[in-house]
Amino acid sequence: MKMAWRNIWRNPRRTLVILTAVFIGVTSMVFLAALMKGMVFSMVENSLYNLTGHVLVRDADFVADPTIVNRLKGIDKILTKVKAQLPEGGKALKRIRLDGFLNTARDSVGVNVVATDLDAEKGVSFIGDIQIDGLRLDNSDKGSVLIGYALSKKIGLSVGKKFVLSMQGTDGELIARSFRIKGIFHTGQEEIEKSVIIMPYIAAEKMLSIDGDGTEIVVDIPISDFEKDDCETLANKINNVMPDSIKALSWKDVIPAVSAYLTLYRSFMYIWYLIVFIAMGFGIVNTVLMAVYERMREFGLLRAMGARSIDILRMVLTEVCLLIIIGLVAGNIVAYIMISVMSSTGLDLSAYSSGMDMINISRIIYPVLTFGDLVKADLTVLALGMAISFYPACKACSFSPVETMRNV
Amino acid sequence: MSIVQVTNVEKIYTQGKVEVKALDGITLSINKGEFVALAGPSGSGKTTLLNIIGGIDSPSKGGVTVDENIYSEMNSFQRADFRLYNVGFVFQAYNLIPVLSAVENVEYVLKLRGIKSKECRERSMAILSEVGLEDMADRRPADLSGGQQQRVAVARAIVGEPALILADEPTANLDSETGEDLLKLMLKLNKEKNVTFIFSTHDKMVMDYATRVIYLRDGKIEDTHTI
Repeated sequence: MKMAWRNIWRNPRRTLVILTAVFIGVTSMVFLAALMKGMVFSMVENSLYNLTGHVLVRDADFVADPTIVNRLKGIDKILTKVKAQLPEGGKALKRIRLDGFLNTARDSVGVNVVATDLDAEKGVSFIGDIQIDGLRLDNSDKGSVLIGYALSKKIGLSVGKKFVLSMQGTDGELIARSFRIKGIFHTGQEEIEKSVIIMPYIAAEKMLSIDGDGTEIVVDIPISDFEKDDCETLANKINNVMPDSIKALSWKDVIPAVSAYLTLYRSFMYIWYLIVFIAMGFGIVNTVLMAVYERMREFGLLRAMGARSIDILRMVLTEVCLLIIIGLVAGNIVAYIMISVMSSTGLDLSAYSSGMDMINISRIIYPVLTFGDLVKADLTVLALGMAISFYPACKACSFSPVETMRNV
Repeated sequence: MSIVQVTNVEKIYTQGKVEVKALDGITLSINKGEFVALAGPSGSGKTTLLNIIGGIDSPSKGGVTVDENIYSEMNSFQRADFRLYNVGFVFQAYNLIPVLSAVENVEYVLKLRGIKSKECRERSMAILSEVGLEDMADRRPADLSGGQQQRVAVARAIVGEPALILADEPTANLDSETGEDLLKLMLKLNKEKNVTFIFSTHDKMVMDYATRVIYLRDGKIEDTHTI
């Protein structure tokens, strides 16, 4: 070890070349991975915040036929059973969520009606903390609703105006009822603002005459890493205590496109690691090979003295290992500082907000660094760095003492 | 008792399409404790013969036995191990590892054998003391004179108490006074430890110290002179 340490400082300039290559490689790997993860997590979070939650419990047939016929009967009992399965800090609440028609004197548009406990939505979906022009809804308000800003523009209705909402009833017939717009909400996402109408749970329950029933239970649990399958585990746990007619689905099953994006991001990260590593690897191999050729007489001397190939292999690999570890430590520290700074300020992408909104990514990205990602990047560099260093190390073992001494 | 037995050894090098016979039917026997000089002009085959006796080169024909071990029956790993335990080398130049101090250079051989650090250091310091360099144990080769470097190389060759020490023109890069000091040191170790020394030279002064001088010319033994 001592000899390897001294050997790497024989030619400080060459050592700095390798260290710089490793440093830049690792810093960019860790920093960009954190930024990408922050971007993807923001997309997942926003998607889940748009009413999906982490786990959705619904009637097994509701996915294929999302009508009131496939509702959860006796939803409060189901809710109690679901709550019993939740980890600490988890939340669950019931909703009635169905499609309907909003009719005015001039227009008729399809809408998604979300009836819920407005206070309980806090921290579960955007409903809990939306900005409202007008008045807030009260949970006991049976005749008022909130509509989105984009919808209000489209149909030309403002706060205080009335419209007729029609939905399918339990007997298959249409039920219509008038509601007054109590407030207009803003989410920054046009699609949501155009399609969602929010009302108190009790209002929908009364309109549809489904006392004690609902269409879904949404579950929110504390999650630090969306790549882990905590939600799937919870969904399975809930399914184990439910009859077959009720199905709990993790968000990955509810919005597979977002889940696929997460997988794509993971693959992209590996490709990114590989590209950075190839560039870095060339630097390492070239420089170590140069160092090995410069010291070929010394390797010949060691072989003559009785050093085995494995001794020389070990010596060269130890030198490379030390260099990579120094580069990794430096790279990790700098990347950590960069990420820490950006974690408070964020990366402002407001200039591309329309595009970002479309794919549910926040306008300000905060990098997310996990210990696992750091270890993954470091191990990739260390393992591949050692692997490619076998070539110069084997070269050092192949020098015959006679050949090298002849040049003396 | 014979420690080195060389039997009808030939060594042919190929340089492009030309074959060069470096050794041509060498047969000789060297007894334990001898202080033998291989003499002859450049290109006579001294270094090649030393390399073959040391097991770092293989003959094209013939056989070499050192301390009853036949090289041709060993693979490269066994030969490396054999050298580690039985043969010490002193080369003309580039003898020491520049990043190690004098004492670390000496103990390197012992460490290769897996001996514990403390024992390595004690034995190395003792041998450096014998060659008169105990005060310079912590100096790197660059901070030692040519003569001192060669003495460290001799100390390293002898620290493992090998049966045989091979020295390829050990005094070639030294002035005559330093060269003579080195020879006296080698002779002293030869006598005190009964280690066999074989060294190549074309320096008359060096030959005068040898108990036997084997003259080589064009890869053949031209003459042998025993003192």
